[in-house]
Amino acid sequence: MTQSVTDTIRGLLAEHARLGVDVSSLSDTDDLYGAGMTSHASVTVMLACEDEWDLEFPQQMLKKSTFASIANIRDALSELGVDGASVASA
Amino acid sequence: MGGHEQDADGPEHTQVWFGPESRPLHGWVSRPAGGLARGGAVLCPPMGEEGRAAHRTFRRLAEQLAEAGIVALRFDYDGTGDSAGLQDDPDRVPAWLASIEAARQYLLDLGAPGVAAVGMRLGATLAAVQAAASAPFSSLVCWDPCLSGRTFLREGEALHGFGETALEAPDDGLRHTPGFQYDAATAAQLRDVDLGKLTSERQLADRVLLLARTDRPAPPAIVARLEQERLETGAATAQGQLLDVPPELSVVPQDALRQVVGWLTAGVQDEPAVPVKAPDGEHAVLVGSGPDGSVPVRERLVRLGPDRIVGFADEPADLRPEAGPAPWVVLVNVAAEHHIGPGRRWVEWGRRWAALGYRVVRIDQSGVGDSPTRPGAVDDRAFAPEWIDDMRHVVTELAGDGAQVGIVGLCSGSYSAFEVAMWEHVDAVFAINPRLTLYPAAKGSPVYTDRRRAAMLPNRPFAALARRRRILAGGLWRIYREVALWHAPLLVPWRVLSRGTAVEIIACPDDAQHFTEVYALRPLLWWMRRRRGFGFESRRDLDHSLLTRPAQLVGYEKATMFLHRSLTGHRTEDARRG
Repeated sequence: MTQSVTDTIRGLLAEHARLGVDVSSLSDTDDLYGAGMTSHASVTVMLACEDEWDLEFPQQMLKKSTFASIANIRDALSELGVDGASVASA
Repeated sequence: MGGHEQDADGPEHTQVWFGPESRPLHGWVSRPAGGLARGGAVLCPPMGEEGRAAHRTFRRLAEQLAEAGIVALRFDYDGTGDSAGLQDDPDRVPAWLASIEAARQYLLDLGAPGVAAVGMRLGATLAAVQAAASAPFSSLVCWDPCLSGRTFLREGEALHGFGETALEAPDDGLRHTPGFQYDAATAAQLRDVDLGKLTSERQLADRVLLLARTDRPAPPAIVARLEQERLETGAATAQGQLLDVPPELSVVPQDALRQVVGWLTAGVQDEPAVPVKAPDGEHAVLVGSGPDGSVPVRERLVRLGPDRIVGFADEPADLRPEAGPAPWVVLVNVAAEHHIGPGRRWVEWGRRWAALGYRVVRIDQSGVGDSPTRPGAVDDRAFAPEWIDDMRHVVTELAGDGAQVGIVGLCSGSYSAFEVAMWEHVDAVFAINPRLTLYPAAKGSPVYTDRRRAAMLPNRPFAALARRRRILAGGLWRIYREVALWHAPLLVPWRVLSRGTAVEIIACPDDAQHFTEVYALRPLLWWMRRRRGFGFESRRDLDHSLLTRPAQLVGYEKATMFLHRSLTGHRTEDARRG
């Protein structure tokens, strides 16, 4: 299940993050901002995640670090109760 | 201080007030040459920080439409820009929609044979919603539209948290976006604004143009809804350079602009050109300075100096000349952004100070906002040399009746305040986050001049290095400045203070350190702080661009107290008590 959430995140990044590199070349912990994602692109990623899982990130999660890596996004989704997002279920 | 702006034998551009008399809306009508138009267009700007960024683009759009034979009205929604109302008044969404309808009606009353709408971002969404609720437009341009009010708000909230000036939003029940905040009721209303969910039973326009970003395709729900109209599509090219940068760096997307003008013009090419009335001449109105239009003050457009730069002046509604000249407060535009200030605070501060007995003018220096650009100069160039003369003319003209003059500025506006205080007598300068080391104006830059008296200009090697390695250049410059004391920014307020001007600086720690880090001058700072008429405070609750609510509240409170202390020529009882 974790794999599918991660894959979905990767798909959303490929579509919306406007990275300077192929998302498949990034590990789960690589810095997405370092890979070329701008603040504006990360907002688009956030909205795409909200649409995908029909949720809303609370105010305290609206910070750069939440979207700094695939692992961070997965952790945030796990905290919001998205099935299969927790590492323990991998 | 007044009049129309007209190109020779060309379109005429007139500042207008329209809509409810008790709550006037502000706009500019661009009327084709000879007063003959084939159609009309209301220009619905983006909301919030995006609206600030798009100001120049919308001005150019209005001008080009008028040149093409279309009478255009660019305007500010209720509680935004220069229109009456506060941004946190209740029922924002209905008020914004009513503003669009009032704009359409105003053009029809002038005699426009039909009215199109051009909306960008949330402006496009609102225009479509209003068309569905009221009547279709002749044409509708949806320029990079937001899918919904919800997505607009979520994007803004995320940018507030993710942006370069990211600061934690306070837990005050408001929804925080960069510069602008919305209450819970407005947020709830925004959820009902959804372009994708507009019923297909209501036509939006006779024809629709959707301009979508190439790097961010339009949401499928927008496309699906607009495909039920007579739809054409195009690319919103260069939208990133317009909106994904700080407003002072925004660039007008020329190709997209041409596309919009060409498409709207094609829609009316077979229509006869009919006379449209000239709008009423520029005049004063009463606008509320408090919630729900309370405590009205008198507001009017002014044109100052030989270059007739534009400002909006607020005065007490019951100004009594026999009581002597009320002091003037000048609010200076920030960098190349127009005169409404960060989060529109210049508008709301100016009106509140007018209610306290001051006369206040918020200005656009040459080439910025609604002011003309000098021949041979370029638009939106921060620190243009002509700003020195603009400010001198403003101060001498306002002081002409013997009034005291104080200036309030943020960042580059603070520099302009210090600069003019080195040339003319200024009674008070309130500087928020001043940066007086001007890399953009260093030797070799397009705005270099040896006339500056309040700028610390890095030597050419530092400036050249800064273009490639900003942080390294800044570090080296600071080391050099420890011995080259004459470059220390603290010397500027000291010189201004010595000329009899009251000075107060409040700054975020990053900006404050420029005044404190030269060790040899710390005794001077200590001595200045002991002097009456000088204040200096480093505050962690300020962000550089004043885009957070706590910073905006602190800025207003501190500036108001400073003005009350420093401008003693004429004040109301309220001001004296403050």
